[in-house]
Amino acid sequence: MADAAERRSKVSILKDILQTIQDKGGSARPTHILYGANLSHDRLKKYLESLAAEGFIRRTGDDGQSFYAITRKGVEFLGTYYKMNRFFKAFGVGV
Amino acid sequence: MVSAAIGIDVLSEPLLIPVWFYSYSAAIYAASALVSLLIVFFSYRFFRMSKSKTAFLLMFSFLFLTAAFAALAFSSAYAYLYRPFFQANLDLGSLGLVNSLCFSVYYIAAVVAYLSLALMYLPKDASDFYKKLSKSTGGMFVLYLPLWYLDISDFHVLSIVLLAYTMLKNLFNFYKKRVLDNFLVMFAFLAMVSFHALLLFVPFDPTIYLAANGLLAAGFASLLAMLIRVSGSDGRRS
Repeated sequence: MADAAERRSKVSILKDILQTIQDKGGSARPTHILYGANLSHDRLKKYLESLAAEGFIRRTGDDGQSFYAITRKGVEFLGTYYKMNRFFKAFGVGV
Repeated sequence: MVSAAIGIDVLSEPLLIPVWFYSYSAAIYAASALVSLLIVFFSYRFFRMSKSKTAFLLMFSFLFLTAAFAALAFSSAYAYLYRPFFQANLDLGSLGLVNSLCFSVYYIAAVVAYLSLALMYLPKDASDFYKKLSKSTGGMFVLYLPLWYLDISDFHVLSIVLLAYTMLKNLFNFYKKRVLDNFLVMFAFLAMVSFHALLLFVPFDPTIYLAANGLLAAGFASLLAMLIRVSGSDGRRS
């Protein structure tokens, strides 16, 4: 089970999206997120909607120039993720 | 020195363990249960976030370990508090029943916990086989080993085998990464294996019981140190 981490888990994809936005200064265009998180357009759209619904990101700008900004809740999610990741790494298992 | 024969041994023979030590062992077991509960809390936080099977197994294992050590703590505390009556007339009374019930909980809960930990570290193919076996037997297979080993001397041998696998996995992990967090977890499992191994020799020398408990305390202190390090970290990428 610990060796079966070839496929990214959903939580890992969400982390990659949030991390990409944070690395871009807290706000990023969908194209940047798409490359940063290594996702297809359809999957990115689904995850962005999910993250926005959870309040981890919010959409800014108009349709032609839309951006996604990470919220405080999103930053907290990232912090918790990295702490938890370190915790599981201590046990030598991937999550 | 006041001694008691309250059947705390693992080989189903009465032993002479100093009664005063039961206050210490109760504290050690209670602290171990508390640290286990903290690990359950950490695992649950991530399980809620990710629905990860690994997080679930870690949470499940330490939940059972919490129950196991809580039962031991209760048994030791009861033995210590029962001391005046016990000293007066060597009648076991309810002590025998409490001891027997607590140790039954301990045997089952500990083996389920160790099995779950071993399952967490199993390669995927072996893990799938175990899952199929559990499914085809309606989950009874999971209970078979603990019940079979209930209250017999082989409990510690089984615990050593199951924990040794987990400990070796963590040893290799530390060898590869050389990170203090990995060392702390590896040491904790090493201490738990040693705890069970030493208890096998208690019939030859009751003072080994003290050493075994000391090792167990060191192991859970090591896990606590890891938890403090992780929760004190700034939550950034490592």
